[in-house]
Amino acid sequence: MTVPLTDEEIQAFHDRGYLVLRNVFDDDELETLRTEADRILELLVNSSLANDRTSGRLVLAEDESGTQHVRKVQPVSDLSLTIAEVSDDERFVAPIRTLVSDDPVLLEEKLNYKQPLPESVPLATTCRSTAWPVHNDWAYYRRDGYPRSLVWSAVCLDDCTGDNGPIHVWPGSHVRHLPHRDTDEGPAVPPDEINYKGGVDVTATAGSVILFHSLLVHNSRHNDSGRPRRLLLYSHYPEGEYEGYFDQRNAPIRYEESAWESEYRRMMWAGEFEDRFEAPDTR
Amino acid sequence: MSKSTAVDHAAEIERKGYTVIEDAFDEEEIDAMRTAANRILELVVNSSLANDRTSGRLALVEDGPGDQLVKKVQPVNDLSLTFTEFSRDERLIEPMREFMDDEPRLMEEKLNYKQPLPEPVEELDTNRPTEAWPPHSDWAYFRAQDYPQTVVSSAIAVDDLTAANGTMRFWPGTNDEYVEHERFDNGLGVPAEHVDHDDSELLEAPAGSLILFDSLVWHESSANDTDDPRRLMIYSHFPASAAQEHGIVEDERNAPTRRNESPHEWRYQELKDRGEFDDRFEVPEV
Repeated sequence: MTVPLTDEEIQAFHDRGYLVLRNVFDDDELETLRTEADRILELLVNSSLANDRTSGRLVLAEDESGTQHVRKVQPVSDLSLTIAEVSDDERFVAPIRTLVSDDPVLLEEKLNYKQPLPESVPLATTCRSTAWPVHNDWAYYRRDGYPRSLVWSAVCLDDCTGDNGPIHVWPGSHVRHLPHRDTDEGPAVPPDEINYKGGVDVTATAGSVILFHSLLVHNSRHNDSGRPRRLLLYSHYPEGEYEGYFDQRNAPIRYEESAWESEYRRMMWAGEFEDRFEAPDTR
Repeated sequence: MSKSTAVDHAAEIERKGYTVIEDAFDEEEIDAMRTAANRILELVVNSSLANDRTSGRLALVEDGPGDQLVKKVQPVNDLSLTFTEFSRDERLIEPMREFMDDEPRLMEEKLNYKQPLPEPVEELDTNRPTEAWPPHSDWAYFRAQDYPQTVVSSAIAVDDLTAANGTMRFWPGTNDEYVEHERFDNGLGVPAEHVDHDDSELLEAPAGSLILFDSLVWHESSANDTDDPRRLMIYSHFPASAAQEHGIVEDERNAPTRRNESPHEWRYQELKDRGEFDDRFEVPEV
């Protein structure tokens, strides 16, 4: 059921740059989404092993203790009808429509797993942690000409708690774009532009959806809880503010990786490869 | 292919609008392509049945009452590493590079099957009136995304191309100028008053041949009157420098179809894995 935003919620979004919608997805839906998250992870890891190359969708981290973590998978909707369908779910798309006063168009989607792996897999790791630097998302999107009015939304598949690397935001920082500098972890707001000790954690229970303005400065800490902190992230832009091809950021990755995933499927059908990776049981 | 041979083929494309390289691919390679073609067709048809919707990749013709024919599957590279790798093969790329004087980049790819089905798959939508194509220039389609006239297509004959199975017919020299097209029930075509079939050349070539043709040269193909498939794997490449000049978005013509269809194909895989769907379609033995 779509519940219209109240005037207070609209005002809160415009004042703070984010809004938490609680209990949007129920337990059955969450179970379906978690199952999909597991299936996608198994598909990508096994496909990578079968093809002897790490999928371009998969970002793995190895921390100082040698533990591997799944940082994210991007893009994902072409691998999952469920996730493709959720991107149009009116329960959070309608609020976005209200906030941007236009029809929202999906720009991209990803699954941030922040999920430790009990056993390492022989695949390339490209970073040392599941933390994200202090940044706003428009610092990435502006390179492709997307408007700063876009909204990104996070569907919480797990509880986001203080100890599992929640999103940490600087309320009100969305009123102007803060300068970023390129770092090894991507564009980041330097400490002379914002107080790194400020901000608040956005905690929320599984099933919540958090809406963020693209200029809102945020980061997140490494997840060392031993549990996954999975967020299904979508970004939508107002239809009238961008004329380019909506999927230009992710279409090249989908194209490049799909052929390898098809080859994995062929090997499975032909009995030339057997799955060696199973997603950790998180229930 | 030697540099001089590539130059010769490029010169023929320039002069006639097309060139034919017989025996470009050997039997083993053609066999790999046929296997991949069969696997793609089974995947796309079974996925359509599992999802209770006809895949947007699949073009089907009602070939007489109760008969069906697979016209084409487009796009295909994301379903097949084999065809992805052939799209980068120097046997295609080198003559194109000479012709374009630039690095060729893939614009799109499709597999024209012209394959009659012995048993119709009744649950699927037949969505094309015929497998024949009227005389046309490919650029009549490519211009919609502002691709340049220097696009070159490469067609690999996966089966023998004969007069009976609906091979291609070219009008040599028509690549010098674009003629406005009109819409027929089976696609865009050169208006009939411009077309003289006496000026055309029928292309007959064995499997393994490679035909390179530019985007302006007129060509057509007729219906397949045999019981066997007439499969042509067709890639189209554009000069890399045109991407900047024309503001071309990578894979713009096919990315939406890939993105729309892929989740349904993975859902089909899930249903199979869970034992909730058994394949009902098998490619006929050729």
